[in-house]
Amino acid sequence: MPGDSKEFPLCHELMKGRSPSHVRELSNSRYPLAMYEHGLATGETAYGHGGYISIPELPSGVAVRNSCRPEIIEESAYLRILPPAGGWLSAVTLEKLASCAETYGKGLIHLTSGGTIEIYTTREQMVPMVRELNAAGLDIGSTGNDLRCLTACCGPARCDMALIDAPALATYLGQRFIDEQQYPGYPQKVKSGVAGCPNDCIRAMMQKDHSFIGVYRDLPQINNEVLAAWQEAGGDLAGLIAACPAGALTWTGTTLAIVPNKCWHCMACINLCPAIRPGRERGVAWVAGGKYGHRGPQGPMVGYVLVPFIPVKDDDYTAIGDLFGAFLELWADNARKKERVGDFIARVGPLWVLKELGLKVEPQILLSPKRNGF
Amino acid sequence: MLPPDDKKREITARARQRGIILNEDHWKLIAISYEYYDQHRTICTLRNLIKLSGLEKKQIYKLFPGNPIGEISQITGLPMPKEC
Repeated sequence: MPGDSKEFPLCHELMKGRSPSHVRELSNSRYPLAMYEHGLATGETAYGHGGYISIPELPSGVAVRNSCRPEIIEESAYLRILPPAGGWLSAVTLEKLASCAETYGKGLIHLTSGGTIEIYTTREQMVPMVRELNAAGLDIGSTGNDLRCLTACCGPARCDMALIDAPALATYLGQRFIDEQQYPGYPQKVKSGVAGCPNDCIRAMMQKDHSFIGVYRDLPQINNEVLAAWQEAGGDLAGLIAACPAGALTWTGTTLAIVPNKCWHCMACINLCPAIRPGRERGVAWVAGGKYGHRGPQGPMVGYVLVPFIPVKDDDYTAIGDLFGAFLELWADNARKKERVGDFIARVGPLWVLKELGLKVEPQILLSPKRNGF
Repeated sequence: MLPPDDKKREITARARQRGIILNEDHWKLIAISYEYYDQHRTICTLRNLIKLSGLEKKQIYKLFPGNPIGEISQITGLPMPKEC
């Protein structure tokens, strides 16, 4: 806890109330609260620009944030740990992380919005901490101009909507491209995400340079018995039909039907009604070029649906990995300095990319290049 | 294309100061850098170095830890590529 309310009055204000307080967490660790208090007082953070640091044994996964108040701390160095796909962390792993943070760091762990886990420490403590993390089956990476960690939704391990095993695909890609995550060598960072269905709960299409979205190609399946029970229980059929963005649902008077050439294969009706389930012919849509970043000529952008359907059978993800690897090589060879994937595709055109990769061009790529995965 | 002998001694000493004991693979990468510099007036990017040397990225990082292109530039005194 901060010494007393006189020492850090603004931080104390942020600890009041019933909602969990981030200041409580910071103050329970060895985080220098004076830095935060200074930022609150001046209306400007006490941290300066950061960067990636070079530690001989650790090509990536180490970085530092500079301090504007060197009399409090000189710098804030941290390790970035590659997270298990899907965000699954057992209590044992959490205990190991906690033990590392306590022993080598400031007793503080940061779960970042990008999906990684950061532990704040000093440059000297980094190598011994990495050795201990390695022994526990964890590794670092995901900083600099490399392949950033592959995030995924929770997948069929917990979600009934999952069309593909998103964490399994992310793990496969992570294992196959582990060197690319740990040894920087690209023109710019590459973020990737795997979503189990077009609901895209992890917002991969908008946030990630590469997103692989679980999709189905046949029509949604309607169980009329379940539908009748749903209606009896108060289900709003008119609302369901109106909710279809493509107007593909029709009521014949006795049964609900889907107009095949109108259906977008989205999840709108499936999300609303338990009687409608996704089709059985499942695969992955490859979307490339999404980013939130404002840098670059395009600014924030939604990715291009480059391949609307890559079949996935028997959990064999080789074809997706081959395509991913081929694109990364193509981009790295042709991109300009610091050019993100989205800016690169916008500059050279999605058709050029598809031609270079020897892929079939779908008319929708030209007609609606940034339409959603379905 | 290897640098002249007096330059080689200088490079060896500078590398040792930075904690790198140069072996055959190091000299191969340095020779490629000199050759590239001769044509382009900078050393090549890491991707080009991988392609020209035939070595894996991981191996190059082991030979010149941290920032391989930066290390080669520091050791040889050749200018960094514009892309870096």
